[in-house]
Amino acid sequence: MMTIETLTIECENVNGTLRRIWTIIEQRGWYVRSLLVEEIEDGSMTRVQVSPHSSNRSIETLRLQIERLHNVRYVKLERRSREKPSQWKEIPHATVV
Amino acid sequence: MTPPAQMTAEQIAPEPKTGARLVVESLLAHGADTVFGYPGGAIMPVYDAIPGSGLKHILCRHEQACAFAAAAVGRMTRKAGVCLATSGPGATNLVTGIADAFMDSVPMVAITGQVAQPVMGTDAFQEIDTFGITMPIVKHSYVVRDPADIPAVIAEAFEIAESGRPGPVVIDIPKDVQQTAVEATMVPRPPKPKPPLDEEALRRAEAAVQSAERPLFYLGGGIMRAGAVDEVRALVERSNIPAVCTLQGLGVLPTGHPQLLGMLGMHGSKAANIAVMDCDLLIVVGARFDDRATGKLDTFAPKARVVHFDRDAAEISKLRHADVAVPCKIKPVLADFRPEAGPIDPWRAQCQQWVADNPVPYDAPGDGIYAPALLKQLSEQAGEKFVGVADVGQHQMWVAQHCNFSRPQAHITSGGLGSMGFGLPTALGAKVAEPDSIVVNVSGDGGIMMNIQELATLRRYNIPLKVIVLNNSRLGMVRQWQELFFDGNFSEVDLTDNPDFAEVAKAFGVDSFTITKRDEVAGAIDKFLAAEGPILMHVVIDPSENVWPLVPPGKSNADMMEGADDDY
Repeated sequence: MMTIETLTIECENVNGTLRRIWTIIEQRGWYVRSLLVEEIEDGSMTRVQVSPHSSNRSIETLRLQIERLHNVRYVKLERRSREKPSQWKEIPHATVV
Repeated sequence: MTPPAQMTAEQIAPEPKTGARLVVESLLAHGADTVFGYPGGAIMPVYDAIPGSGLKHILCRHEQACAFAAAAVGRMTRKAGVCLATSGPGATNLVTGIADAFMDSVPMVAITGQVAQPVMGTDAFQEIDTFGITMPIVKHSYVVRDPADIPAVIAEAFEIAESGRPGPVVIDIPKDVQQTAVEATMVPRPPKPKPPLDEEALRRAEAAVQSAERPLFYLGGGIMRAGAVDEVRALVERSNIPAVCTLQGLGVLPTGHPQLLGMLGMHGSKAANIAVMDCDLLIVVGARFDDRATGKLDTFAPKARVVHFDRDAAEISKLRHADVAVPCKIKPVLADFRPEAGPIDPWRAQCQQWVADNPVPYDAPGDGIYAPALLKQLSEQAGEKFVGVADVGQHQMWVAQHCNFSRPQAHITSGGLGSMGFGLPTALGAKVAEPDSIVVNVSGDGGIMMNIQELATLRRYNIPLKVIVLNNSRLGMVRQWQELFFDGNFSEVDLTDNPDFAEVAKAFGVDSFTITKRDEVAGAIDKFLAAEGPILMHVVIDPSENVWPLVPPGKSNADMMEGADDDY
């Protein structure tokens, strides 16, 4: 079964932050299945679904690797090991990137 | 209205200044009085602002060397070194040096010129996406769009580079931003965040030590980066627990320390690797379970529970589960860490026995020069002021294994990236950072050729660096692996057409000499250490000499080979 993990990331709305997050995810051995970004009052909220390229990857390590990025405020692991991605209905007016 | 006394006239009514001027003044304001750089079209406004500014500029002869030299300042001082380059090829030439700093958590600020904003994205001359290219190898990066932002960006860049787990920061500045004049004042660094400490984890760590029968410290490069060497030395000594160190952790305990079993890993000491395999508690401080240290990961320290102290929470349990995780600022926390080991005398005695049973041999046959013996003698003779800067390859491991290091800064090496060409420019930067130290670059004949142009920089500034080229006319480490693991199929490792390195040095105006026999070594070291200016010692060694011991790639640290006759 393909593991799918969902992360919610709040960050400052600074040029390049999204690209940095995407880069980290792929660099660390995960593949981005989907990415939704919403502008919030003082930053942006990103929800990303990722799958590992190999089974030895820890989602908690990835969470911390994203969280240590300078403009990232926090990263929350939404749910574990889903079989299929959600439909992203929780975020109104979400932008599909 | 009377202005506050602490405000300067400049802060009250700043004169318009160009972005380039703000770059130079900001660097000086944050203590960066020396930069390593190479000018070019898109960084010319900054170069225009340098003369008469008080900023000392060292012109290296390749941007890669600028990056290595700047990072060397960071490695020596824990303060961010600074390099400058132009857009396009200038920036791409910095990349290896930036990546090297990233892998070894070295504070550095790299400032690059960029084409003017109106032509960004149009494939303009010497345009490249520096921000994008460097993104995976920086701690943080900026493209500055408004010259008024420059003071704040540079202040933040230094703070990010030096705080927490250090790393390189890139600031890409379009040419028009450098040229535009604005009113802006210098800004102080943003306040440092204080990471919360999990006191309970600390107490659990102490309990783990107390209940262990065979505890062992595993000391890494994060200790020096955190400025916590004194705290770690005190901790090790008051706990009386044996210790091993990583390549980057050499010097945390001085060579010869009675509790130090040596470096662990692929070319580590046998005593260190046996102890790791047998310990029941590994107390990891500022290390990241690098594959060159652990060998086959699932066989590493198989009997041990792990207590892991690290500044970077993302390193804990990344590769090896930590039974007790202590993400923290290492320096204050270790001063607070008061473990009381249980009855571990038998374990300590066993560790000492492993050291005694595995002495390092220096009695190589023949009358050729045995590089390990030369390096040992050199570092002993240079004494406490010795700083060994290796390049990458066999000689790098010989330096790590055989030189004496009084402190972590005495051993500078490209540990994570393993960049050939690292040695000479890094040593140059180290000597600039610590003029009173005896800085010795040890390179192989492969690596020296990758940045040999920096001999010109030594000559230009009369930097009294000492350079050793250990010449086996081979890419020695690759040759060794081809001999051992590729059935002796030697492919593209022959460098017998090398130039005469002593003559090359002379052509650059650097004193030099060559030795080929063992009985020349003692006199050569005397002459080398006595030199007042830059000097290069060309040492011809046996091409078939290998680095021992060796853990074959993909094998357990228990499977060390001590010679070519060993099975693996």
